[in-house]
Amino acid sequence: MSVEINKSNYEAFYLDYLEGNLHGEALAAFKAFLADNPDLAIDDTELVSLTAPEEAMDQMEKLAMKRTVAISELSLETVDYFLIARTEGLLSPQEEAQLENWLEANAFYRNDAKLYAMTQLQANPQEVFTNKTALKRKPARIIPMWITGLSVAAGLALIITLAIPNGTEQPAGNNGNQPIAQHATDSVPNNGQATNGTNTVTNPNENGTNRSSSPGDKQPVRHYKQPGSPEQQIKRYPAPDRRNETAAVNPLQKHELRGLENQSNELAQWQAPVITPKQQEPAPSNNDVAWEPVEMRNPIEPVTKTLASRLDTPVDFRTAKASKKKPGGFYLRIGKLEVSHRSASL
Amino acid sequence: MNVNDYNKAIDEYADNLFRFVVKHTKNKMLADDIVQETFAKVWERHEDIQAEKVKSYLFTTAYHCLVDVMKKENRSGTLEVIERNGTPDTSHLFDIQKVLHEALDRLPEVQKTVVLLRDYEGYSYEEIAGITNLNESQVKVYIFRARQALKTYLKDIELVA
Repeated sequence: MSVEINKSNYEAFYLDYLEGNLHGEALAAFKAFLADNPDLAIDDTELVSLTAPEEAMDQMEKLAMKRTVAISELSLETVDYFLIARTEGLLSPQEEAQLENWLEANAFYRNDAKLYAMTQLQANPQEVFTNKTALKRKPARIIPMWITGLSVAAGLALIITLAIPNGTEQPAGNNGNQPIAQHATDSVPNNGQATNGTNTVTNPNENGTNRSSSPGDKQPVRHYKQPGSPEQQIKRYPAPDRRNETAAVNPLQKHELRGLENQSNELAQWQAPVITPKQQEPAPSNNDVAWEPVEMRNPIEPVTKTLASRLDTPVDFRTAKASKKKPGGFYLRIGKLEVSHRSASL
Repeated sequence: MNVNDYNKAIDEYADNLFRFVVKHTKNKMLADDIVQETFAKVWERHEDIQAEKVKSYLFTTAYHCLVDVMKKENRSGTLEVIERNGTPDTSHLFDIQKVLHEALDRLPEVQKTVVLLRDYEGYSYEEIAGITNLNESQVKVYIFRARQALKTYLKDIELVA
């Protein structure tokens, strides 16, 4: 054996000896050492049994797993359970009294009872979390809905304002100040041509023909006056597409050329009013021009008045008949988007 | 739970949560992080949490954070070193609570958790079971084992004294 057993190292050999791990030469050497040192030998009664507490633990665990444990099960083997149960507050006053009586009879466990009662932990109040402020949240600001709505409306208004380069610009199809077709005073028989003397324009389609090829398709007529009238506000309109238009046509001339052969009976009865232009003005060019509406006068006012009073309804001087429908419509423009609707005129 | 409830929960439970966590981590900075993470997670779902149940929700979240941290950190490495570094001298051993907390550090984590929730927060077995995802019987057994171990520790100290 390489290592000699002496008083400084014999404990390690003793443990191996007790656990049965010492064999052969080492076992013989250790027994010889014990024979030489009988005072170091351990009596069997000094050895602590390690299995007994395990059994007691199992018994306590079994009871702990039960929903209810009767105090009648109190014994030397189960006393730990009841002592802990008392610490946990699981015993009724009667059970506590019985346990107390049992402890009177078994004073050896009084100390255990006292120690179990001390096993309740208490938190250290000086141990605190110091960063509470950083964790807290600020309450959110509540913005009333009406403010939000107002903001949206203001934003839309701003966008619309910016989208229109010139604040006075109006669409070609309509004038904000001018109805699409004025009742009785400024509308003309709608056969696709305007009849405002020399200062009215046709409204051709892309093929250069009048849109109102059929009598039912009546188009309102707009009356324009060229710019230059300082007393009235000037309106700018984008010019209509006249790429296929050869020349500006006097609507009255065109009306004669067409011969009125396609007119309905109602239209055939109409006598074109004689409107004398204030001055001969050239037809609008193909550029953006400013036009101003010209009020149309009723040349047969006494007739229409008489008829209107008899019929109890307004009378169109062009047809000398009661108005059937008052024209109307709307126009909406947001940026480049234009939406318009026009009711059928007379 | 609204913002006011949330802020009130911080005032009422942040300290309790911190004590619970720091008993496991033995590291105040790490405990701070876990508490902050816990409250952040609670805030994320504050609209779904009832104000009266926020404490239970906080401890449940903190426990799960703790378990995750324990898994990530090498329990026998970093935290053990911190524990040794943070362990004060033994001159206080006859102060019962300090002895008990020394004994607490020797308990398995699950026993430590349940006994802390029981003694620090006064939770019932059922509530602890909900927080730790154990059943009531397991909680009761762990608490009984922990009490027995603490008593044995106290007895040993008493014998030494």
